[in-house]
This record gives sequence, C-alpha cells and structure tokens, in this order.
Amino acid sequence: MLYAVPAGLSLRGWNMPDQFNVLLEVRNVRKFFGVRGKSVLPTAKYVQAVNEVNFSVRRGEVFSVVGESGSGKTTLGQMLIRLLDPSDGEIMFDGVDLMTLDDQQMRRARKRMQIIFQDPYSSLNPYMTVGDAIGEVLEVHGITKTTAERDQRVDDLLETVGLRSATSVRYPHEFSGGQRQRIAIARAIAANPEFLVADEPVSALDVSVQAQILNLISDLRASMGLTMVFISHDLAVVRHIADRVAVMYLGRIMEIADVDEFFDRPLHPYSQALLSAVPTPDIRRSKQRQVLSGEIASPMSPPSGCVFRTRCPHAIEACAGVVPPLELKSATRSSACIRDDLLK
Amino acid sequence: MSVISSKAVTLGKAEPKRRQNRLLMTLRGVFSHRLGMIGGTVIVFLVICALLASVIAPYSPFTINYTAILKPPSLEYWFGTDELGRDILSRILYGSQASLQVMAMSIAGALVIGSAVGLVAGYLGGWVDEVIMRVVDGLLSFPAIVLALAIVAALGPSLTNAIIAIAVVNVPDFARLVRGQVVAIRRYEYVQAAKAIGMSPARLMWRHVWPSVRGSVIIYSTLKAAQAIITESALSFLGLGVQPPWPTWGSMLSTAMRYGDSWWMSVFPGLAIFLTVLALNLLGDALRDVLDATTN
Repeated sequence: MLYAVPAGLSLRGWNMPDQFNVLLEVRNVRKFFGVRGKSVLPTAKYVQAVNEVNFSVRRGEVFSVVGESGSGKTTLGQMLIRLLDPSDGEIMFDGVDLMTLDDQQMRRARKRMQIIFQDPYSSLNPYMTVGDAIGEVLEVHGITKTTAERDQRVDDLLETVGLRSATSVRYPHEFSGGQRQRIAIARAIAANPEFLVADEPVSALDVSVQAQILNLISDLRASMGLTMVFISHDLAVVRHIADRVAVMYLGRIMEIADVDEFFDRPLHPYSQALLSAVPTPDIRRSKQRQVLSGEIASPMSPPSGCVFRTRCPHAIEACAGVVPPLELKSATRSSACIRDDLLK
Repeated sequence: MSVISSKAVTLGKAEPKRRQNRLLMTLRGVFSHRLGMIGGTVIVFLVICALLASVIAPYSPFTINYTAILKPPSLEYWFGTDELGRDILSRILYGSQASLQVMAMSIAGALVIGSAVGLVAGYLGGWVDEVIMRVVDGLLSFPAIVLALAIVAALGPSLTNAIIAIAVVNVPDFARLVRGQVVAIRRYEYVQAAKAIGMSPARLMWRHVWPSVRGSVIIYSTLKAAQAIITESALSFLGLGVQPPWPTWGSMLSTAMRYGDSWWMSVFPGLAIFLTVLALNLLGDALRDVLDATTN
C-alpha cells in the first residue's frame, strides 16, 4: 500500500534510504565519557552515553528522539551538530562527515545547523540584549553588512517569532519563559539554517505556553523547509510534531517507526511500556497499563545483551547473550529485539 | 491582567535608543549610584591632589627642618612632622603620586594579564589549562614579597620596576580567580549556544564568558589595590622601590613604625591608604552593580 504512494507527494511512508533525500546520517555513533576514579592510574571506567546508534534523517522531516532521562538523547543531539565529538562513528551531514572538518570549516558549517536548548533561562546570555544576541549570529556569518541592515533583520526575526521588534533593546531577564524561548528560536533561525536540533524545547515551559511554542516551531519548519531532530520525553508533544520516532534506552535505539504506526502499534516491548505509561482518559485501556519494574540500569555497567532485558516483561535467557541489532521489520519500521514472535 | 497590560504600555513608550555608548552608559550608571558617586568623588579628589601636589602642598616634602622634629599636628603643620622635621601633609600629597601610580598600574597590569590567562586556561581546558595553571601554581608558591624582591633585584630598583614586579606577583591570583569562574560558566548553555552559532573562541570568550566574570574581577582588584600599596612599601623599605627622599604612603608607614609614640606619623598615611581603598571599593561595588543591573 505504502509503496503505491507516488514519490514526492508525501515524505511520510518513505523508508528506503534515498541518498539524495537524506540530510543527516548517523553511522555507528558512540559516545563514552571517562569517569575519573580516585586512583592515580587511569581507570577503564566509562559511561556509555550513546552506543552504536544508526539512523538517517530525510530532508524536511521531523525526526523525534524519545526516551527517559539518562537515555542519551541530549548527548546524541549535541553530537549531531558537533557540540560534542563522538567517540566513534560518523555523522554525515549532507554527505560530509562532520568529524573531518577542521575548526574553521566547522564554524562555517554551523550556519546550516542550529540548536534550540531546553532551558531558555540558561541558553540566553544574561549580559546581552536580545537584539545583540540575535544580531551576533548575522555578524558572525557576515550575513548583514551594515548595522542598519542588521537591525532591520533582527526586527524581522523578532516579528517572525511573534515578538515586537521594540524588544530588541531589552535584556533576557525582562521576558517570560515562553518569550525567552521565542528569542532563542529567533536566534536559531537567524542564519537561515537547514537543520535544527530541538532539545526538549518546551519541557521547561508552562503547559499553557507549550502549545504556542510548538505551533511556532511547526510553522517555521513548514515555512523554512527545516529538517529537524526533535528530542523529547513527552509523547503527546512528539505525536503532535514528529514524522518519525526513534526510541532510545540506555544509549541505544530500540525502535524507529513512522509516527502513526508507532503510536498505534508499538512493536518493541520498551515502546509498548512507554506508550502504556501515557495517561489515558479511557477507563478500559488504563487497565492494561504496564508498569516497568526497577530503574534504568547504570550506563557505567549496562546489562549484557539487550540493555532493556532487566526490565523487559518478555525477556528470555537468550536476551542476555547478544545485543539485538536494529533491524528492518517492515518498510517503515525498525526494531531491536530478538523476540520476533512478539513483534507482530 | 492589568499588570501585564500596564507593563506592555511602559515597554511601548520611551524606548531607549538602540545602541548608546556603553562606556557612557556605565559612567552615568555609576554616578547615579549613591555610594559609587561618593567613591568616584574621592578618587577624583585624590587624583587632583596628586596632580596638583606642587601647588597645594604647604611645604616642600624634602626640606629637613631640625627645629621642627616630630611635631604633633598643629595649625602650622596640620598632620604634624616626621623624624626629620618634614611636613607630613606635604609628603602625603607628593607621596600620592607614586602610590596611586603603583596601585593603578600594577593592578591594571595584573588584571589584564591574569584575566586573559585565566580565560584561556579555563575556556580551552585540557593540556593548555594544565600547563598554564601549573606555571601559575609555581608562581603562587613563592611568598609574594619574595617574588617581588627577586624581580626588582633582577630589573634594578625604580618606580617602573616596582610596578612591574607588583603586577607580576598579582597575576597568578587573578588567573586563578578567573579560571575558576570560567570553568563554571563554560557549562552554561549560552556558551554552548554561542559555540553552536559558529563563533571564534576569542570572540566567544570576550563576549560571552568575560562579562560574567568581570564583576568579581573588579571587586577583587579593589582589594588587591590595597595590598599593592603595602607591597610597594615593603619594596621601598628595602630600598628597592621608590628611592628616598621621594615619599610614598607605604614608605612613610614603615618609617613610622620606628616612632611609635608619634602616632601622627602612621595615622595620616594610613588614613590616606584607607580612604583610597575604601573609595576604590565603593567604586568597584557600584561598577559591579551597574554592569549587573542588566541581569537582575
């Protein structure tokens, strides 16, 4: 059925990796953080924040990464725009491995990729006016030549994100959380990027403001043709904004699926548990709530084999033996679980 | 609701001009700050006294008068006379020239070099940090006065060399202070955000890291200024600073130690130092408040 959709009509439903269509490709990316021990000798202790992650993001889509705190999604997001260097693996942005760029090339490449942070209270420099904070992006990339031109563009950007242009002379502390996040967004889109990482952009905001900011992000994505990686732990938000969803657990991807498919029929036991934890007003469905026992395992000593097996209700002995690879289970979905019998 | 709308109204009118001269704005801020105003006035007064010492001083600071040795304060000698019968008020006025110079220039030098070193070490981290901070630790392990002595001894005694020595001695303190703060600030998301924009490290340090550090650096330097005067007096005492008979506040103080009964010999230079440091402190406080007014 899905193959019947003519190419180009809809971005959803494509799953065959199309090299012309892929903006970002993550290949076998790992990130280990060394843990400094008490001993003088270098210890071999590492936190495995991200482990063997593979996925690709197509142009124009919103690819959402979900997971509990500690699952490595923020670390992953920072590596996508090389705020952190991966310990291993490649991050191909428009066909170029970001790790092969030198400092200057990387600085130039940053024009094309931006990030919105979770906390708008710490992502804006308190010592800089809003106008300077946004204008700075234009200056760094030489987008505007004169001060007048710069100020005009700053005003335009502020209006684009729904703020009055007069706000450019104010300091961040004079704004509410929602307004600050708008400023952070204006700054992120100032250089007209193609790719945006949104790291929990609404989770620090009041619920009443979340929807406004989400709508703003959606609108900008449509009008600017942005490709986005949207990191979140809030499944309702993800369902609203994402085209595809990747579920992370303990630094590994458990499942990748189209958003509707994911919410209708999650395959991986962890995805199922996550979705069943979403509160539902339906009394019959709430009975089926599946509560995971225990805590997320320590990333310093993850379980052997499948990292989820210690909390998985369907775990069998074989799960401890091998790390299940992320495999294509259908045209639009991949999952990392050896219990294929469950994945129906 | 009414609160919100009234705020919107105030935001709407009387918008400040877009880019005013930062220095001018800061100065205006300091002078509308009451304590800053007091501190600033005192400093200006002291500087004028230093510049006009030859005009205002009632006596020559050098003329020895054996008929007026160790005279207590009187109408004739307001601040009394020293062990050679020289007028203390005149010596304080002339002494302020050297003392203020030593204070301002050595601390300014230490501030600039120390802050730059601390910024680079703290921001870049890794081996750069290790190398810089080990050198700084090495310098810190000398007692300040011993290090200053060694430097002046190597360069030769003079006012300029005393300033250089005091600056060098203070560099490690500033470097440590700044580095510590930078390491904390580096983790803030706005520093990450600035990096994500594609800014050069130099610009990032200057525009995004330094403004968060400068407040404490300013306060610290006003404290250090007092120490600079004392260090200078120690150098002068050992004949390595300003050469006698030229007076400095510090050397006047150290001479006064030998004449404990003549309280005026130590009290007045002491008061001069106290007043200067207090004024600097007030000014520093005001400066920090004004620079921080934008954040809180």
